[in-house]
Amino acid sequence: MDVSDAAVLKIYKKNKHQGLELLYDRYNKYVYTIAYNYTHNKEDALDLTQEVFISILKSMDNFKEEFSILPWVKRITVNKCLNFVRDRKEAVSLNQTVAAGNEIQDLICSPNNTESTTLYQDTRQSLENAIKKLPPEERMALLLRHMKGMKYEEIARIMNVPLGTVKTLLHRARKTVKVSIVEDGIWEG
Amino acid sequence: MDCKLDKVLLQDLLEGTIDPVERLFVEEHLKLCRECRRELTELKLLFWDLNDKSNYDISVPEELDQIKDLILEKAAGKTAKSTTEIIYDIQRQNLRASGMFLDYVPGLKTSNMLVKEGVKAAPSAMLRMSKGLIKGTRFFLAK
Repeated sequence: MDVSDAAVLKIYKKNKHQGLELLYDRYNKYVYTIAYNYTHNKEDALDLTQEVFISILKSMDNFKEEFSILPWVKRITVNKCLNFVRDRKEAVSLNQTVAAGNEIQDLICSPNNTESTTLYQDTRQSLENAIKKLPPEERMALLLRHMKGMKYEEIARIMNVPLGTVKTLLHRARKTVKVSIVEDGIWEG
Repeated sequence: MDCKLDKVLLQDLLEGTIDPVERLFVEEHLKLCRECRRELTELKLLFWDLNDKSNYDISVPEELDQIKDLILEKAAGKTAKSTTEIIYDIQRQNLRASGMFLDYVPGLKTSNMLVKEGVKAAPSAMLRMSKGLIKGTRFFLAK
């Protein structure tokens, strides 16, 4: 276990409030980064971060000292993210297409909806768009593998799916993202 | 140009998760198949972009600090404390915090031990000093 994790737990035992505060300071950016890259939306990411920490703090008393905190935080974050999308399925998404075939977000006028922005997209944006469109599980697996550099085994453990499923999710996700980037013409020229 | 090779194998090749036998097979195949070589190049580019951490850099909003209080409040909500207890706790925390640096001052433990030893040694020193004093007074009295 990390020395600082042990220290956080020690402080938590003496003083709950202070321990929780330290825990939050230590992991909030980690959780927020995953949540943001998963939802691509500040409000949703903040909501998620809040949910994750409330659930961490609630079960903090039952946390065994011999385990380390980070994998536990990762697991809760991943679960919350995946459930979050499941809960929100009924909500209207801006990417939803209306009867005429246009996406809702295209119908809303936007100050930067000029031709230059649609013609020129940088890699980051193209990647972001592609990842955003992936199904939840594929998106999460891809982020954990490539953003967080996790091993397949770790992803399987955290997402609570078999190793083979992780491979399949990643294969499919990469294929979709590649097609999307090729369509955007990022690698040309 | 209609290659039947499972493109998944190319991904596994780049990830290093490919079976050794399949690896040999794919490497041989790549020598002959232009389509797969092209696919492999594209996949390399994709992996490069996917693994580029700067693509995931985000700015952390100020609200993240603000929700901290909200969360802590919710967590603490179960054990409502009286004002006196809160003030008492704050005082105790302050006291503890103000002395915390002592744990990290180098050489403090050794000097503490020295002081302790000094205190133990003190009685004999006092004895010697008083003896000297008595001697001195006698000397004066004699005169």
